[in-house]
Parts: sequence; structure tokens; C-alpha cells
Amino acid sequence: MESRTLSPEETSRVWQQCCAQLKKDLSAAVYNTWIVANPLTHLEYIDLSRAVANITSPTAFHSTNVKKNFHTQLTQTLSELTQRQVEISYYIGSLPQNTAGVIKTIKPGNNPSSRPILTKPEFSPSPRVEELFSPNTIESAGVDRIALKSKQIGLRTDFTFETFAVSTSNEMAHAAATAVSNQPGSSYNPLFLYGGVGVGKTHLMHAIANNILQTNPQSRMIYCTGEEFTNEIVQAIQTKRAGVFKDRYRSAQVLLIDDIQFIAGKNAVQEEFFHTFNALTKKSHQIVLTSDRPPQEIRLLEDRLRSRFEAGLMIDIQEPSFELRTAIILLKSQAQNITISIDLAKKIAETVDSARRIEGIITLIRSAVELQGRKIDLELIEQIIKTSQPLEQRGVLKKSPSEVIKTVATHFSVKQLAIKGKSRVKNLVTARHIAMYLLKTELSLPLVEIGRWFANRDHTSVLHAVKKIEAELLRDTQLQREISFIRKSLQTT
Amino acid sequence: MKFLVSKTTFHTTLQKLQRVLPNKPQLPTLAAIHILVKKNRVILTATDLYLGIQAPLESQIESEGVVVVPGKLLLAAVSSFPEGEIVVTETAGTLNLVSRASKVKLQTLSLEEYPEFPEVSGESVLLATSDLLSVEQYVLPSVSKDITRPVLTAVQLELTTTTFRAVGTDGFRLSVFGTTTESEHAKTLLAPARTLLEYIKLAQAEEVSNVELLVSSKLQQVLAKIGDVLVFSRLVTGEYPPFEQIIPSESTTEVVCEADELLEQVRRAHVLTSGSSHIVQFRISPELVEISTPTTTEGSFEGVLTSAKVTGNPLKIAFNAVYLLDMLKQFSSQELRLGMTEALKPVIFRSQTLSSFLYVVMPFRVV
Repeated sequence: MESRTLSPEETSRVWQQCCAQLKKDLSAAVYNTWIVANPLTHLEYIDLSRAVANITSPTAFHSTNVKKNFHTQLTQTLSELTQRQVEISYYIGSLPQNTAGVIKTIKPGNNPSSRPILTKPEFSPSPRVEELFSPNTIESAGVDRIALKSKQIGLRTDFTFETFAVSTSNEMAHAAATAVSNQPGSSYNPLFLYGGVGVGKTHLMHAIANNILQTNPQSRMIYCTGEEFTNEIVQAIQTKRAGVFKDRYRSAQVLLIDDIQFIAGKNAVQEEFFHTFNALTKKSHQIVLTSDRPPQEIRLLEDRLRSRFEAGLMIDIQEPSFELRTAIILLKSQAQNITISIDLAKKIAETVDSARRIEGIITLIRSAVELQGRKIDLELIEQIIKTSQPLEQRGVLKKSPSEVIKTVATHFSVKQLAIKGKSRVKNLVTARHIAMYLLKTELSLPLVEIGRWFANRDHTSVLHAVKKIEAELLRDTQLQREISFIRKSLQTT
Repeated sequence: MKFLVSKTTFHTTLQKLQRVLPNKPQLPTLAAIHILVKKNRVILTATDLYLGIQAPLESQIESEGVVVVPGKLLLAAVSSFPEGEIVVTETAGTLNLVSRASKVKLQTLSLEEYPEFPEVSGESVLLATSDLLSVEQYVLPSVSKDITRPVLTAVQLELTTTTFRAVGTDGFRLSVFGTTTESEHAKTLLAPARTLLEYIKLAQAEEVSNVELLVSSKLQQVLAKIGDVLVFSRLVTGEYPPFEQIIPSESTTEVVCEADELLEQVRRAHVLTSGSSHIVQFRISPELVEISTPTTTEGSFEGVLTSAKVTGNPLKIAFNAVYLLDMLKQFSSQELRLGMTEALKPVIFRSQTLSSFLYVVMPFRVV
């Protein structure tokens, strides 16, 4: 037979029987002091002939004397009751019925179901005071503390994983960042995120930091940009306090440097960073870096640094797709407490391609709503998009129509003449439509004039082309990418 | 058994044991004093099982022996004696106290029933009497008297090799006293408030600068050596609340004022709060700090703090006057800083001139 531990109810039943027996032989005072105060708390049947029992006393005084004076009686009585030879061990501790340290709330707040109510409210000196150690108080103090800490570190508290929209272009980065923040130092070290402007590198970095603080508010963390790092070193050298600087950075448990490409070409800074990097990775303290390009493309970066960056996990964050931009708009507008319908969000996502500008536009919408009392509708959105667009995108692109057509032609590897001509080959037609669309949207040319550039087509044909592209843009991501690419090359050339 | 002792010595030694003699003992033997005469020492012992004290008695010994007598009775008898020498003897179930002109006979109690003391061993740590006095002054007033939550009736003592910290709370306010010290071992223990009070009284009576503690975590016992006196006490088991987490980290409203003025105003306000659960309201604005009580059938109080300097947001907040009075006394003649965030979030009190102490109070919910 296997050993069996009796349940608390069974144990207490045995103990009650035991008490009843002993009560007969003892005076009330002795019984209360030495028996009732020192109950049986554990009973285990080893096999059919043996059992072990624990007697728990409130103090060592009780325990010593129970053991000395009542051991034989207890052993005998318990053995008879269990019909086994009982071996008693004596323990000291608080008794289960008044378990110490249980924190109870005096008065339920908004959520009575989740918070226990003290069974005897008359013990509370003032019924309208919330407990210092109620879950509510502890939680809110914790939140305040973390907020203060992240403020000191220089983090944005709204940059968290919850507010980060994930799609195919950034899901790898998101997954890696989550892994790093859950197990800093041990999953991917260093984590190197790179990508263009406004793709969410900084957001992810802050989210990692915020998440680490949530789980461990005490962790020593440094967040800075490559430029700040550089400036600090320069200052430390100037004021002859390089030692302080080194101690500070090398004792960090988590080091986050944004735009690390900035230290390229600065020898003393790279040297210092190299040693900091080694010191931290040796202690498996987490390092997270971001850059606008991969290490191998950062010019003037020392080879030893480059190879160290490449030893970690490098992740490319792509430009946000149309769907992701829509999701970002919805998320960000939620964070700012304004509601934008999905159709309007799509409308914004169509024209705005960087996540950072999305934030600006949402702030503009909010100010229009809050300050001018306007309603969020298509008209408002269009107006805001128009005014917030960078100058060169606002139809004052300093390009001639022929340059636009040339760029489109180059992009599709077709001849300019063919685009302007009458051929109805499929890829030519697409290129022609895109060119018309761009002439309309980027240069704001009248339809009739656009028609003239394309073998004197009628303005309705142009209108049809523009409408068609606009419609396709809504669902065709490939087309979105191509048009955005052509736009960019128009701006740069 | 026979020994000679001066009345004054006998009386002062018995007084050291007095506080562990319960008024209503479960067993008569728990309100008794155990007298042991062995070799060249007389040792008096008393225990109520939660606290036990052993004190040596300076005397002239003639023969050895051991006896248990009712404690209160012995104390009363000895204190009634005139100054001078008392001869103590034991004969067949009677303890005889004989002076020049009087003789008292006391019935003794059974020796077998007297409880045995646990054997405590463990690492030793030292507490300075001065630190214990600070604990009494700053921490003990906050400790709970509610026995349904044993952990809060204890003071958490935290010793590291370089620091000493004592924490007390009743769940509505929190006192933390911290200072630097030197200790061989690091130790954290939950000592009952009553035990600490006993240490403080005995340390003062024995005029010692240190109390040595032997802590046995297995037995949940702590043995204190205070001069020649030994104090046995249980430790409280359980988990102390996470007090560090609720100490406010930041304040958005700060009031700097003279503690004495605040104390006086709260005291005046308190007179009129018996009908309103001791509520004292504060209306804090950058220009003015107003103190008032809710109007009841008895009346109301209104006052201002003239010494107050306010920074941050205006705030309305209410406290239990008792919690303020208890603590404001300790800050007497100091400049006090109150750090607040919201009307229902903990408030921190501290003083720059008393950096070793901080006090946190939970404000009232004013309906």
C-alpha cells in the first residue's frame, strides 16, 4: 500500500476524536493550554501499520513542553485512533486558520467580486479608509513607480507592445523584441533593428524597455541615442570623469542605443562603445541597438564592431504596408481617444506612407476636433492630409511632366514614346495610367493638358485612368509600393 | 534552600519579571515565579509561554534548592516588607520570607507543571539601545493591536552588515526607521511589539548600550541578552506586507510646514471630530492650506497653516486625525514635508532634519 496523506478535513476529524479522549483525563486548564493550542496539522499513513503526524505549536515554549509532557499520551491516543503506530514530529508556526499576512480590503471599490471583504468590519478603525496594502494601492503605487522610472530613463510610456501594430513587414522584429524583453540577456544579444524612417524601430526599443520595467522595476537600464552617447563621452573626457561614465554604462543591465550609426567614424567613441559592449555581453546583459541601415552598410564603422553586431540578431523592419498603416492609424487614434472609422483610416493610409507622419496627422485631427469642435469626416481628413503634406508632395513638385513620364518609363523599363503612344499592350497601359495618375496627383495638371501629353487623348480617358488607379490602390499592395517608389525617386532625382 | 537578600534588590528584580505575569492565567503555573538556587546563583524565572524572562538575583546563598510560587503574591509580599534583609527559606511546600519583625509563608506550586524553556541557539546580532529607543518612538505607534492579523502586530527588523531598519504598520499607516550600524550577520525578523517594548524597558533598567539577540528560525524564537537578564520570545511567522511597494515614489503636491503648527491645528480640529470618525480635511492651494472638520451637531473647526509653503497642484485630502497626532509629535520642532499625489493615494511625511524616519498614511475617503 502506498503512503497516503489525509486531507485537512480527515486530519481534523482524527484530531477532534483525539481531543475528546484526552479531555477526559486532563483538567480543563491543562487541556486548553497543552492540547487545544497545539493541534495536529498533518497526518500521513505510511502503510497499514505505521503513520507519521505533525503537531504544530504557536511558540517554542509550547512545543518544548508538549513534547516533554504529553508525547506518550498523544502517541498512544493517535495510534489507537488510526490503528497504526504513529510517530509524532513537533513544529512551530502559525496555525492555518489565522494565516498571517493575508491582506484584506476593508471596503470594496469598483470591483467587489475580485476583492475579498474582511469578515469582521468592526476591526477596522475607520471603514472609509482603503488599506495601504490593498491590491489597488499596491498596484497604483507600482504603476507610478514604473512611470517615474521610465521617465527618468527617458522612455515614452505610450510606446509599448500593446500599441505596436504588427504585420508581415515587422512581425519578425516584433517577435524578437518580445522575446528579448521577456528574457533580457539570454535570448538574442545584441538585438540589432534596422530600417527606414518611421518604421517603428524606436517604438519597439521603448516597448522592450517598458516591458522589462514592468516585470522588474529595479533593473538598471540606460536608454540613449548614438548622439547622446557620443556627447556624454566627449563631456566625460573634457571634465576628466571618464571613470564615472564607464562605471555607469558598464553596470547597466539593459543598454538601449538608438541610431547607433551615429558613432561611425568617431574613433574614441567606437573604442569606448566596443569595451562597454564587451563588458555587458560578458555578463549577459542585454544590448539593443537600432540603426537606419544594416551594419555592413554603415560606413566608417570599425570592423570589430560590425562583426559583433552581426553576431547578434539583426532584423530588418520594412516600410509599413497599406494594411499596417491603416492598423497604425486605428491604434494611434485610439491612444489619443479619437474614433476614426476604418474607411477614413484607409483614406489616410492611402496617401501617407510613414508611420511618423500618421502620428502627426492624428494629432492634427485631434486638435481640429478639440479646438475647432469639428466632426471627423472625409472633408476634414482630406483637408488635413493636404495641409500636412510636405511641400514637394503638394503638387508643387518641381518636375516637368516629361520628367514624370520619363521616371515612370524607367521604372517599368519601357520607352517613353511607347507610354505616350497608342499601344494597348497590358504593361504599357498600366504604366500609362500610373503616369496619368501621377501627373494629376503630383503636378495637379488639368485633365485636358494631361491628355495632350498622351497622343491627345480625351480628358475623360485621363479621368478614367486616374479613377482606376485610385480604386486599385485600395486593394493592390504591389501597386501601392510601386507608386510610392516612383514618388520617392521623383523627389530625389 | 536558603538565601539572604536585601528587600530593595529582591523587589527590583521581581519587577523585571512583573510584565510577563498574566492577570488571568490559563494555568496557575504560568503566573508563577520559579526560583532556582544553584551553586552561587539565584535565578528568578517567569513565562506566559509567549514571553519568558530570567533574571539573576544578587544574594547571599546558604543552601541550594528550587521552588515555584505565585508571582503576583510574591511581588506584593516582598514590596510590603520594610527596608532591610529578608531571609528566604523553603520547607515542605512552603516558602518562608523572614525579616526582622515579620514572617510571610507562601504555598508553593508543583515543580513538574512548570514549563520547560526551549533551548535557543543561532547566529547572534546586536541591537543598539539607542536604536531600540528610536523604534519605540517612531515605529511602535504605527504597529497594529489587532490580533486577528498577527503579522501586523510585529515590527519587522532588518539588519544588514551596514544598516538597521525597523518597519511597523497597521495597514493604514506605515513607519520606517532606518539607520546605519555594523552587524556581523544579516538578519530579518518579525518581533512582536510587546517583546521590543520589554527589551527597551529592560535595556534602560539594566543600563546597557546593546542588546544581543540569538535568533533561531527553526524554533521561531529569539533569545535576548540584556545585561544579565535573558528574554525568551516567540517570533511572528508569516509574510510581512510588501511595504516598500506602497511608499510613494513621486509627489505632485508638496506642502512644507512647521510640524508643531500642524500638530496644534490638528489637535484643535480633533476636538470636534468625535462625531465624524476623526476626519480632518485639508484644502491645499498654492496660496493657502486650510484645515477643517465636517460640520456635525457638535460644531466644526476651521483653521489655516500660516507656515505652509505649497508647490504643485491644488488638492483636497482628508485624514484620520489620530494617525496624524500620533506621528506629528515625533517631528516636533522640525520642518515637515508632506508629499501627495491624489486624494486617495498614500501620503508621505518626512523631515530633512530627521532623514532616518519616514511615515506613510492612507488618506480618508470623504463622502
